[in-house]
Amino acid sequence: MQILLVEDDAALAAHIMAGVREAGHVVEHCADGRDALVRATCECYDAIILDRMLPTLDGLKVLAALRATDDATPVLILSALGDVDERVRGLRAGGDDYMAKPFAMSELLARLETLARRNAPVAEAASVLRVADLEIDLGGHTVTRAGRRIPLTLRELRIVAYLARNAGRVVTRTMLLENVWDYNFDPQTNIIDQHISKLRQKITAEGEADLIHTVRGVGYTLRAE
Amino acid sequence: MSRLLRSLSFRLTLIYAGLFCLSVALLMGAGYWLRVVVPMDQTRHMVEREAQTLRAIEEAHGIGATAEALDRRAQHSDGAKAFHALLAPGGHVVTSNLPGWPARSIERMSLIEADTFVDGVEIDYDALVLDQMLPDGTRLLVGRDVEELTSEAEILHFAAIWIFGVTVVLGLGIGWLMSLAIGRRIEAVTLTARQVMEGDLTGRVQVRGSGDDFDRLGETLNLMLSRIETLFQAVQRVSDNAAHELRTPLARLIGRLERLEQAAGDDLTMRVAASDAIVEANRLQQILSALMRISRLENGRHPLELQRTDVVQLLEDLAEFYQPEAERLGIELVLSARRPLVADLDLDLVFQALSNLLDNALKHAGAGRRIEISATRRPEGLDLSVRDDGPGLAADEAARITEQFYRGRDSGGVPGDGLGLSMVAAIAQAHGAALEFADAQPGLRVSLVIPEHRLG
Repeated sequence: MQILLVEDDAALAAHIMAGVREAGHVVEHCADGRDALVRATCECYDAIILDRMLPTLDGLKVLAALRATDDATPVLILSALGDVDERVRGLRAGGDDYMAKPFAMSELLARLETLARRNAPVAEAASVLRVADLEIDLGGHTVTRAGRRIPLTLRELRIVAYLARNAGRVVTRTMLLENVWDYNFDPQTNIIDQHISKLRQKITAEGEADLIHTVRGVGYTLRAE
Repeated sequence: MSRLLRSLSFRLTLIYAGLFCLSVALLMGAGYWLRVVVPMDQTRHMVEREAQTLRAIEEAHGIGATAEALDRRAQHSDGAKAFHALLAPGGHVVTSNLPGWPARSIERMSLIEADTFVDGVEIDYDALVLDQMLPDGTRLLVGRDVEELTSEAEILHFAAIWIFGVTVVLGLGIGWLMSLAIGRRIEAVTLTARQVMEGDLTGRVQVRGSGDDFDRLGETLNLMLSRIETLFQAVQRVSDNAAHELRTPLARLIGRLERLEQAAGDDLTMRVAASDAIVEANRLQQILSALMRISRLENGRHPLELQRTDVVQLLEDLAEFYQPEAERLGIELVLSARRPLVADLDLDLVFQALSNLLDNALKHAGAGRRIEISATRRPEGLDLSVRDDGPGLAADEAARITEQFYRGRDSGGVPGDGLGLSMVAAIAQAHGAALEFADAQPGLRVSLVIPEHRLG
């Protein structure tokens, strides 16, 4: 993927670039808002990582200018302003995702992956998702595995659907919380793990392979082996 | 109306009007006594004396002499016009200049209307007449005109009604205007105080420049508010900068540790050490963001986003979120709320607060316990409660429990950073709600009571 990183802190920028390159992406860096806007409009990127507090032009203004030109490049806002209302402001300004500093590199990479895929012409609106022998019918609210119907709660259905949409990619706990639950909050205990373990029990029958894999220290991924 | 009655300026004006009415009443009473009561008494005495004299004449010289004396008296009366009527025992009128009298003697002093026609013009007279029956059956009525006094009394009555009426109307009116004028000035001060209390420190009392008492009060308050604002901003700057300046180095620290973890390769000890360090750094970051969030809530810089909320749905989502954890811990989670229960709330914040409370209950209640989440409408407002039947809370701990970083005495082995309840308290404060801790006998009941007027 071609990624533009807009970040004025040199040490942090170096760290992000190293991490993103290691994950196999091409990354360009600029430290200034105006410069970032010029580059983003001239070239085509798969995703932009955007800091908010930048010299010359504020990150949200860069974003607004970009969206005004009908540029739909996925933008991940990365900011020290991490409160819920700041997050909402960032997303309303046209950001596709919002991360507060400090952050874990693995979380950033996981989010970049799903973000860039959002732009790809995938049948996002598909009503039936398939991963290995697991079949999720979103229209009919049913989940079947190898022809066996699995009774799930609405929330479990949403979890498994989110995992299936991002099949093969890592989904972090925070991503699950943001996308499956309709509240912006910060659970003090890792409750998500309990939900996943319950879901895992339900969709894995005796002798079947586990489809939900734990990625240590990062999150989960749904894939056939 | 009750607000008007409670207003001090209005009450003062009412008291003033009352005192004014009282002094007018005293003055008019004195006038009435001097102009009406005293002369009336004099006339009464005069009539009594005359009646006595005439009675003596009647007894000594008979009815004829009395009639003569009466006629003389009527013709030569000096001062008030004299009236009389003399009736023989059979009821035959011997002499009279009264136009009429009661059919039967009433044996005492009374007022008789005695209008007289002179050359076709009616002259009003009011006669104060002593009506008496003499021992021989003769009826004697002797009186004097008191028309001047009765009309004086009438005028005074009339004047009194008007003066009192006007005084009361003016008193109420002026009282209302005064309380309005003063109330407006006080309201301005109250509004400013409220504005500042709600977190907008730029609020100032409007000063008119007339230099009156309220202006002086306003100027003093404004000086105080400016001072508070300066101090507050100084504290804010320090904590904001501290928090913000800590974030970037923390981000770098986590970054470096991640690189270290990768670089460790197959060296398991190194990897574990690095990942443990990352966990600690993340914890530090969580504490930092919780602190910043609490401080933003406490000083009103986190705007509330009120939206009409199905409270029961909110609790159902909450219970559903914690259900797997409760099952893992062997705790029964019960929801008690009945639809319809709708309120204007900041959904995310209230969910966060209840989530912290439920999280605490799950951590501290212990296995096999029962936790009840409930929502009820009380007279004070919407009551959102989390109740457990666990070990409860020592009475002396309740006051300290919302302090930042305070951990309960029995929470040694329980994970947490002592910020959960501080966050709940800050969210409660932002909603104008009360956070109550009660002994549930056994266990603890924590309630968030959001006043109805804030619910819209």
